[in-house]
Amino acid sequence: MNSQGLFASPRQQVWERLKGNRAAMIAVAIILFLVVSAIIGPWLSPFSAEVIDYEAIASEPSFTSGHVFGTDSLGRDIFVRTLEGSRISLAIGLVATLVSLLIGVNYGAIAGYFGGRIDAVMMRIVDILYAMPFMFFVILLMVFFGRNIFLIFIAIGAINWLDIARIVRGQTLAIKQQAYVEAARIYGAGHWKIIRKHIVPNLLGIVVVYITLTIPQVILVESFLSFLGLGIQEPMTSLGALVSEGANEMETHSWMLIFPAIFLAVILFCFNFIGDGLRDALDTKQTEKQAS
Amino acid sequence: MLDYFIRRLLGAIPTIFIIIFISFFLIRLAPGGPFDFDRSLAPEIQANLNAKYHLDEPVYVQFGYYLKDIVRGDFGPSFQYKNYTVTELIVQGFPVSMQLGLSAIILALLLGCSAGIFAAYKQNSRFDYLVMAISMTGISIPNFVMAPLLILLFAIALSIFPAGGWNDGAFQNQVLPIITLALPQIAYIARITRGSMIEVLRTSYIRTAFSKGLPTVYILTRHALKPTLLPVISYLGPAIAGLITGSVVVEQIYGIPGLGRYFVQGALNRDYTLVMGVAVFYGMLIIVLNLLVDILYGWLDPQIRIRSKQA
Amino acid sequence: MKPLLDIENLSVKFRTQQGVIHAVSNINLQLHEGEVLGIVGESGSGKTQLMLSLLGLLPENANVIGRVGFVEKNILSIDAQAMNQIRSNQIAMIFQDPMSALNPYLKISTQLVEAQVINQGLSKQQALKQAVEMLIKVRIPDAQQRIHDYPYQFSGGMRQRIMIAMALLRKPKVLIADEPTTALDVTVQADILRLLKSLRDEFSLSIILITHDMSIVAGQCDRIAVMYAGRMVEYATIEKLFTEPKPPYTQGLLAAAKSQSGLSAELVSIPGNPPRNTEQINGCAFYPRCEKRMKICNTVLPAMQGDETQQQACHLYE
Repeated sequence: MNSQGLFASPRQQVWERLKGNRAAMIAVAIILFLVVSAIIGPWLSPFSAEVIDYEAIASEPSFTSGHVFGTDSLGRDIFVRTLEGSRISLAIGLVATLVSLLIGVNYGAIAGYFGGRIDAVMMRIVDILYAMPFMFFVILLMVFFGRNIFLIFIAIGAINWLDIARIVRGQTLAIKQQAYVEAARIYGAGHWKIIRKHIVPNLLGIVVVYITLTIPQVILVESFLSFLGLGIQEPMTSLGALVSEGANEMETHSWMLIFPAIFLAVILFCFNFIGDGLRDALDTKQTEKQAS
Repeated sequence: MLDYFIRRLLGAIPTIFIIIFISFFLIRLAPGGPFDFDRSLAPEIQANLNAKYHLDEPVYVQFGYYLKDIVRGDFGPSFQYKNYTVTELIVQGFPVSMQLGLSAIILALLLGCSAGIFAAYKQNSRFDYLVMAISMTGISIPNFVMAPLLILLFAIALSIFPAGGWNDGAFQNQVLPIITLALPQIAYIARITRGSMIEVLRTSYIRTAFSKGLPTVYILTRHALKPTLLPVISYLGPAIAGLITGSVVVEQIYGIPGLGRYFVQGALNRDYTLVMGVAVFYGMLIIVLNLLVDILYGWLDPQIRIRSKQA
Repeated sequence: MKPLLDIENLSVKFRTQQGVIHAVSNINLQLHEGEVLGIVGESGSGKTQLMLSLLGLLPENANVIGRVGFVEKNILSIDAQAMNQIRSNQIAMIFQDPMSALNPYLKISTQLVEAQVINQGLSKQQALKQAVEMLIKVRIPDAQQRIHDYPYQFSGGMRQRIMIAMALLRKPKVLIADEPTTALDVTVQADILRLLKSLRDEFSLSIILITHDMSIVAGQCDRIAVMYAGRMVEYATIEKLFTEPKPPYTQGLLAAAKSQSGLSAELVSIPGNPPRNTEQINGCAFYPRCEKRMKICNTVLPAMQGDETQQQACHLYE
């Protein structure tokens, strides 16, 4: 029995609950492992992502040749390319998520804090944007303005900020009603100070959940674009591009598809699992049954 | 009810307007696009373009013409398929996509709701964990990964279904595409239904129903089902958007001549008008369908239905 | 006279992630025919869980032991179908919060007649007719029209009356009312209580009234059971309880109730808080807050002792 259970601070309780979710913890471990491999892996392999091994074009995975995942149709080692691709996919995931976080948190906090007419207008805009088929517009952007990697970051980031804006606004409204914020206002604290000191720290939990759930969405969007041939340009590669190449050859050289596909699926799976676990851990606090 | 409907309708119009507005400006701003006059053109061609697109008149007038054309259903000629207008291509491709999409959403609703309801009723059982795990997979594995895997398994290894092609809508050709399209939606709907039902089963009014000695099946269908399904109906809007986005990939991989594939081909071949036309078309479609979903929701929820009658 | 409902040694435990919660411990109670039994206690005293256990309405992680005799049977060990019969037309329960106890998506007509139509074989028209009559009896205005309305179209007081109607339409022998007036305004409270009293006479009901409010109990009940931390503290007739309350806890409750009704100059309350029921407590649960406590109170569980008019579990009276 966890004797500390009822007396620990809220943050400790959440952490305890998360630790108890074994699936989520395993997912965290896997992600950490993948991130580390993606970063240092390519240096450890004798092969490089671009160098062509003319003696082993489109060869099957084998330990003897050193190509543990096989090679692609140009003779490049798939293991290294998969790790490179993971690195790029994760990087885009992180950066685009931060972009949407930046936009969304500020937008939502401002709307929620000032309330009234400002809030109504800002949320109306969000409603309108929500209904639009963003994916199509991103594709349009790619078509019209070229496949610049910065454009990709910003375009993808701009898709996802709506959700976090809504959530942050809701939280801000709730926190605003709390007594201690009233007290701060009576004492003459400025708007920005209140936002920074009282509201933002309470948003931390929600924001963390959001980050873990958005990263896979972003990676998915980027993979989608790359799959269609509209994303990352050669020689850089991402998991989506790798899957695309692999899909073309899957009838005869199925390994070209399978390895990147597994990596992609595992990354997405793990992030979703962690996000879910975090959300559950944060939520139980509010839905405890009452004894009477 | 009418009041609710009108308010929703009025809300939808600005959105459609903005979509058309954005398309208009994107196509004019695109570097290397049909309206990029950095490269100089032969005078007759320039004159033709000026006449057709009213380029010598102010921008807002041009926008007016554009708007008028769209209202008449004219999206302009396709750049890529020289003998066709965009509208003709849409008319050709959309019914195919719609067939797949409709089948997929029906499949998703049937499977997703049943799985979710059952998982909620047997919460924390092995079936429940299974449903949650499978749905997590459905959400995490992108359709462009799932499709090749399905093809690998069912078409190549087991040879049950063809690996692609439309074959005029033959049944076997539809199976894998529909499943691929439906999978993520089945997953989302199952999760939403499960979460919703768990919450509903915890409510005070369900406890009241049990306390009256009513049979369990009756309580599940008569008392619990409707409140459980309302969030699912809300989800239909995003679900449709998801299906439309998914169709782009699914049609590409399975070689299905639907609107999604036209869109991708257009994107890769820089067919500006086609790409714009499809985006605007799908945009409007999504908005209209969202409107219908909203109205359906309003009709089902007594508080909304009756309150607006009285208003 | 043989009691209608005979609760013997009833205990309810919950298995949770934090350990075992002892919600109810060793309760012995009887409800006689025509009697109004009050169960009084603070929040967390286990009174609601006790009643829910009678009807089998506790969640999956609950463990109920003991025996409840009702009409020759132990209703803790009957099958689901038999239990549904009991719930349908023998023992009815109305809940604390009328705002959420009715299904917002169904008309009240449906909710009023369904039990009779399904379990008692009435036709829809018959049941509807009876429902309208009952609504009139519980003083819902315009009953004929309003029966087709949805719950949100009624006020809290009216919803509670609808709940009462819903219970009585099933013609139960026993009505359990869990804090029927707590969620309502003071003026409406009196109304509802008066209604219950008149209905009890008209329908020859036996009622169990759960509340934390001593003043309500005074006006309504024949017998009272006082609970604390899941245990029975006193079980007495109303006269004995109000004239000679024995355990310090009961005395404290009475003093607090008197002060709130303005009969003394200052507000009195019992200092301290009830225990959280996560461990099995040795000795008397009230020990930390008791003014008259003795050494033995901390180590030995006091047993219920006394006669038919009054029993108490307190070392002071052994």
